[in-house]
Amino acid sequence: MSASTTATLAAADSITRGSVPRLTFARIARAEWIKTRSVRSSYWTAAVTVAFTVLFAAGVLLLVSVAPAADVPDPAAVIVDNYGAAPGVGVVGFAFMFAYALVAVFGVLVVSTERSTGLLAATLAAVPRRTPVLAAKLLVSAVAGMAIGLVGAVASFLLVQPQLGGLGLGSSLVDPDVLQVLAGGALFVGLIAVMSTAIASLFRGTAAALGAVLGLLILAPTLIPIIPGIGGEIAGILPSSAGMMLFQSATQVGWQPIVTGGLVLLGWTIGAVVLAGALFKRRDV
Amino acid sequence: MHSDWDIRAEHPNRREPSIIMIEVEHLTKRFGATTAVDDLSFTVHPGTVTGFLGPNGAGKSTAMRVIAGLARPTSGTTRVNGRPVAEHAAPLAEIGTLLSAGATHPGRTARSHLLALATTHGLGRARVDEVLRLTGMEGVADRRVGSFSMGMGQRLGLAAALLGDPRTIMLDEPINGLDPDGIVWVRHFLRSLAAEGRTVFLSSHLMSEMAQTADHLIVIGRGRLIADAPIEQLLAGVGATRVAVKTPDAQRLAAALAAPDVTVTAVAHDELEVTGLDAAAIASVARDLGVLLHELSTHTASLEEAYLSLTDSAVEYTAVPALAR
Repeated sequence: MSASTTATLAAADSITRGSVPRLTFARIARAEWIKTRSVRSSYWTAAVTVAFTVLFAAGVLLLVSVAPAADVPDPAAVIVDNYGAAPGVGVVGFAFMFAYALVAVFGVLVVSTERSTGLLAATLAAVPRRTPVLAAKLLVSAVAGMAIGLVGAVASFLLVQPQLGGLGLGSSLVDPDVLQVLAGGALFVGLIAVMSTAIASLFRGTAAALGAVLGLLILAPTLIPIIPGIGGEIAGILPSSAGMMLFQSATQVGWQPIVTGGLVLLGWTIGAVVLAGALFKRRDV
Repeated sequence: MHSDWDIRAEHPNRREPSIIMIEVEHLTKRFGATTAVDDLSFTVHPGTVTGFLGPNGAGKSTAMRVIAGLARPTSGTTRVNGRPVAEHAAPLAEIGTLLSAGATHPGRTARSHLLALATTHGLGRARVDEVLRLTGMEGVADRRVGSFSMGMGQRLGLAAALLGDPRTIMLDEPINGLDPDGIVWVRHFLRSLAAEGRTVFLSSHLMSEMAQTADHLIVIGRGRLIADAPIEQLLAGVGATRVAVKTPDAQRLAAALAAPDVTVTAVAHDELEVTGLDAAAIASVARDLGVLLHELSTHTASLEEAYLSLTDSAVEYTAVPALAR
């Protein structure tokens, strides 16, 4: 045998003698993370989300505050009108509002690209029990979604502080109000991401999945209120509309609407996850 | 691809000895009104290469997908190495599958694709590098899969199937898109895997390749089992060896050859077809008779003939009307 073969034998021996391969959830989750971080679309989606968030949440406020005095005689008043008495908190809220749609897209891509390319067959051949794969995808979605949302929100907050400080409207990142809204918003985008991934797993193609998810999260809250009579009430229990209460400031609206809204979104998410889990396990791939 | 595939025989078997086979019992799979697989039962044994043959739409891919756990049977069971595949703690170590090689994300590198699969079982970069080397893909490991040719995509699928060093290996059209070099390599590799005591199960349309690679054949048609036998038995079933003889003195030779278990057919005024005697015996008779032979050739039944005669009535999509035999 050649020298290279002997070397290979030695290397192979050490691999096989080390550990016997077996599936564990931690490993399946790590595999899903490898999948997400090894495609460029993940980074692009995340970058676009953060940029879009910062642009609209912070950018608009900054524009107002630097507009020439003739156009906006009292910037502080305009800002307080639009962003509330504590504009820093308001900016964080806006950030999550702008971010969640793109986070939903990210959540869809976590599962849809795999189904449309047929890669899901290879994945499920390695994990025939299936449910751990879906759970791992939901976990990656939740963590990445929350991270993207938080980065956008914190960046927006910090970017506007210098301007707000100049107008006497500044606040600190560790204010209880700010922390509460950051936590609520992170929970919001996390649940949105999980729900998007769950719903997307029900569809075969990326386009259909995106249509369903964005239809539910964006179109429905816009169109349903138009329905005369009950439109307004139904709109109140749609997942995104209800969930947005999570990043309201408790000092301004009280805890009850926040908790109620959060529970409605949680209910939708649990429902989507249960349905997705049942079908993911049973359907032919 | 001068890979040293023979190193695998040296690995100590680190797992307890157990059943190594694929068992299919009364498998039926319906999609709505269509019955793709109909009460199919067979066992694929270790130590030999078993070929899976059947016309298009016969249910081969469906059966393989059920075995791999990708589709639920309407009724019946399948087992890999003694248990339904979902019950194994490390499916990739039990069965390596190549079912649709194009199933990859185009934006990922070959290495990342394999690493993601390997990580589910706790296998790491070292193992990924090893299967890349085995399939001759070290050079393209960090290229995006979307840029791969069909042959490279196929090799990647093979690499993925080998990640867990599986006891059973199941491949659907493994040599699709490979160049002659690659086809020969796959043939040697599969035979060596079988020689190590693994179960090797592959489906293919290429008769000539199947005849050289497989020892045992399972033939299905319209979802039903048509044959399950060693290759020699199937070939024998088609017809005995025929010898074609060309001679100007055909009639005299025919008369001399006639015997109880010999059939002589006059194909043309100077050509005979003889069954029941081998070429040496015929030449001997001709020499004794003083008959000049222009041509003497032995025709053995080919796998293609055996397959065509077996599946004649089970073909869903006929290209040409059945040829007169």
